[in-house]
Amino acid sequence: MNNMLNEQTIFLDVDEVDKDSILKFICKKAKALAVADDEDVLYQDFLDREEEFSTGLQDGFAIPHARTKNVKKATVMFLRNKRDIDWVTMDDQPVKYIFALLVPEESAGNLHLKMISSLATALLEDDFKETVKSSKDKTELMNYILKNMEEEN
Amino acid sequence: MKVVGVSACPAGLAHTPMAAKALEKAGKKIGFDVKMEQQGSMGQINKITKEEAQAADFVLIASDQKIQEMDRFEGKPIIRVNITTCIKAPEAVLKKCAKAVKEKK
Repeated sequence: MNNMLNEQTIFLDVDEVDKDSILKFICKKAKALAVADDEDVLYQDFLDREEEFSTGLQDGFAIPHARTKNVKKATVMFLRNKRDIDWVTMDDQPVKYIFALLVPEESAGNLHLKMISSLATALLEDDFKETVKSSKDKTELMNYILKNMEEEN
Repeated sequence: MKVVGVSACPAGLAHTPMAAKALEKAGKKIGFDVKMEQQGSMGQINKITKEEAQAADFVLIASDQKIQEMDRFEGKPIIRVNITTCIKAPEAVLKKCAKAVKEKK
């Protein structure tokens, strides 16, 4: 099975300047990976979700997400940005570490949703956050995140 | 202190489970018995029965959305808290709610 998170969806040296350009980066990659057909429509989906309330968390993390018919397959992207991004967060700190969650409106089965749920709760754990922040090796990082997504927690 | 509650957010993907787990974890830490139902993208998870609801000291709704099956909480003190606050400061939320409920009794 093609994992919803894989080496093609992890970006460790992103150098975007603001939230808008981060979201555009995600949409461009989504299009390139055939996760979405239309990057502009997807971008609007992300913006709509951010407007409902910001997806900024704490400790430099954010989880922008889109759950719409424009998403063709459930995908998780991880981006590590070089500079701080201004984002409305729970602790008023800027964002550097981003998990983008892309889910089709009609999800086939709950497996993907369950994995996203596990990822979200892993973000409550300091160990998880530290490892994700500092890992240098893409494959190692991928396996680590996937392991946490597959765990019931 | 026995607490039941429901978390829900617009997309139901991430904040719903995060708030539920954050509150349950915080509960364990301070010795509260906390059970949170998630009303998210996967439907109702960890569902709270009427019996559990009626045995609770208070009901915590971590959401500003419409919650399903509110009737099982009838007669119980119900406190609504912003879901973000529940993720950010779960322990403080539980303590504050418990205090408010005690003072009202």
